[in-house]
Amino acid sequence: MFVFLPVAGISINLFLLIGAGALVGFLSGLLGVGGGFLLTPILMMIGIPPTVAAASDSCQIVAASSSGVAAHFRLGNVDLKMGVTLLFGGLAGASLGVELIKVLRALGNADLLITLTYIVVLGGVGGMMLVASLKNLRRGTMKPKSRGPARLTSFLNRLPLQVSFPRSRVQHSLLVPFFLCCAVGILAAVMGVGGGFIMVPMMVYLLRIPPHVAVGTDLFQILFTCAGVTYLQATTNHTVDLVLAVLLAAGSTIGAQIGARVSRFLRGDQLLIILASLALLVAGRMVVSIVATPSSLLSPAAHASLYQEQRAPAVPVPRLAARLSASQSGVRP
Amino acid sequence: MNSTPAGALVCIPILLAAPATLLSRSEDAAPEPLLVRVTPAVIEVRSNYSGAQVEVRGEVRIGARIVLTVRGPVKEEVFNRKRRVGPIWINSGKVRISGVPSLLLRYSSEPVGNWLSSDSLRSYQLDVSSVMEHVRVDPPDPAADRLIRADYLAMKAQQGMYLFTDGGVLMAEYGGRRASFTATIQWPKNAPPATYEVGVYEILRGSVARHSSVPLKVVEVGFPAAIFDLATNKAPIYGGLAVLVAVLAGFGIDFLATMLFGKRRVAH
Repeated sequence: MFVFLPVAGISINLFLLIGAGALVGFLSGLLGVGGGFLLTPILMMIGIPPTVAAASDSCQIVAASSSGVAAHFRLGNVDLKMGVTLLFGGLAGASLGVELIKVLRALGNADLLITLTYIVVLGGVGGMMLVASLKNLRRGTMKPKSRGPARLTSFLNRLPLQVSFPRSRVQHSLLVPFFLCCAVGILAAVMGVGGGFIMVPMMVYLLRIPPHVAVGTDLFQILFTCAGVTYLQATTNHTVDLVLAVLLAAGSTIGAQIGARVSRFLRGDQLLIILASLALLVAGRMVVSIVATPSSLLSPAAHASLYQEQRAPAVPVPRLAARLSASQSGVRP
Repeated sequence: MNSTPAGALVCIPILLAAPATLLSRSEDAAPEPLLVRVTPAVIEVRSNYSGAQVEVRGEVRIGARIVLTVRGPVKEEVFNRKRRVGPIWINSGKVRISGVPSLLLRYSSEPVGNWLSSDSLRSYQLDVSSVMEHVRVDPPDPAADRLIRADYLAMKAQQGMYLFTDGGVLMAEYGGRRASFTATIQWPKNAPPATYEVGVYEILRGSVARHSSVPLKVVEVGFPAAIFDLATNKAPIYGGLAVLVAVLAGFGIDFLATMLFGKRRVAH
């Protein structure tokens, strides 16, 4: 059964779209990742123009994450205070990342640097997370919270704006999650891949937030980021295909519900092992894709499709929106 | 398939492409227009659109062979260019491809290589190599231009947007001096709404004697047209609607899931 996508301008099998959405939604609900790193390439593979794929993906992430947030909120896994702090930090980081990309491009070889950063960060974070989680799993209990070196702890405790985050069961200066998230935002912007991969481990290992709360809170900030990106993409580039987004959302919201419920049966360590394995898988795929000789010297660019050019000349997306969109969708503009 | 109901069968006599007509002067003193009918003349794209079947019919002189083409508008496309840096391949810069139609389907009554001169093939872009010559690569890269052109055509073929096939046109003689031809084209569902051109070439003695072209429109109607209009002309409303629909879908599914599986709260 086929359905015509009015903005993408092509006809696609209905069940293929719902199935792709369900897979990504499941991962989103289970692990707190946006899923753009997976869904955008899938959409491009089945013939959706890259810009429409990335923008519509943002829209479906809004649906999946709102479904996931609602489920996690009921389960007590969303720390609103922490979520808002992270949201602001992430936005600030993304803006800085956009400027950094400009500098890197001016210096030349930016693509090489981005690719290597991608592999090192994802591989590094994934590897460390996997080792730590496997150790904890073997011990049978989550590793007791270490307070870190005394000097660092003392320094962090002396920072202003100390706030208690009861839901996350931690106390930090507001500056700590803000700047950490800012750093993650920069990395996400440079790498062009979503923050979930980096954000969740960062919240668990550096902010000492319980994994389930980290997942729920990360979904909370993803919801707001992607809502902003969707609106900006729709108003500036006209690349949001509502029909595509709704079909993906139909699958992803159900998938997210299942994912959030499955997460209740898994221990924090097990969740992190799955996330780490996924990160390593993506990094591994990246290594293979850059080492193996490509079948073609051309690959689809994140550029207005032929169809868009014919009917509605594309307007440049504000840089921050483009970067945010890329960071949620896995496509570098 | 969605097609215009009544005036679907459109008969368009073309008073013809001058150069081609001149070529056929030796055959007939005053060649008649090449008669081509395309059904439907307009392909209507609705929500459940999954491609269409287009029938092309016409009349030619006895002994003539037919080449039939469908061409889309010529547009520039942009791709990432992969380059090797040391041991790895990375996307490095963009390549703009232009000069050739966005869609090109070619059918014929017999294998064209056997009876059509290479000059005709080249001037009318009726085979892969002649189309490849027209692919413009920007910025030019003499070392890899040919490979890039070939990769582009391979990509288009994979998408179903380029097809060169020897066959697909059926001929039948009648009335002593006339022959009719019929071709049924499976219209690619990926071909976006635009105005396409169905071209028919009558081949006599190895060259194009007459040439006719008929427009074929692909247009959105109904719900897809309304959504597209909203997305392009009322973008702020569309953007807000997109976010609202997504949020409501998310919370709606959560609500349904709660009804189905029950509400469970975990204390931290």
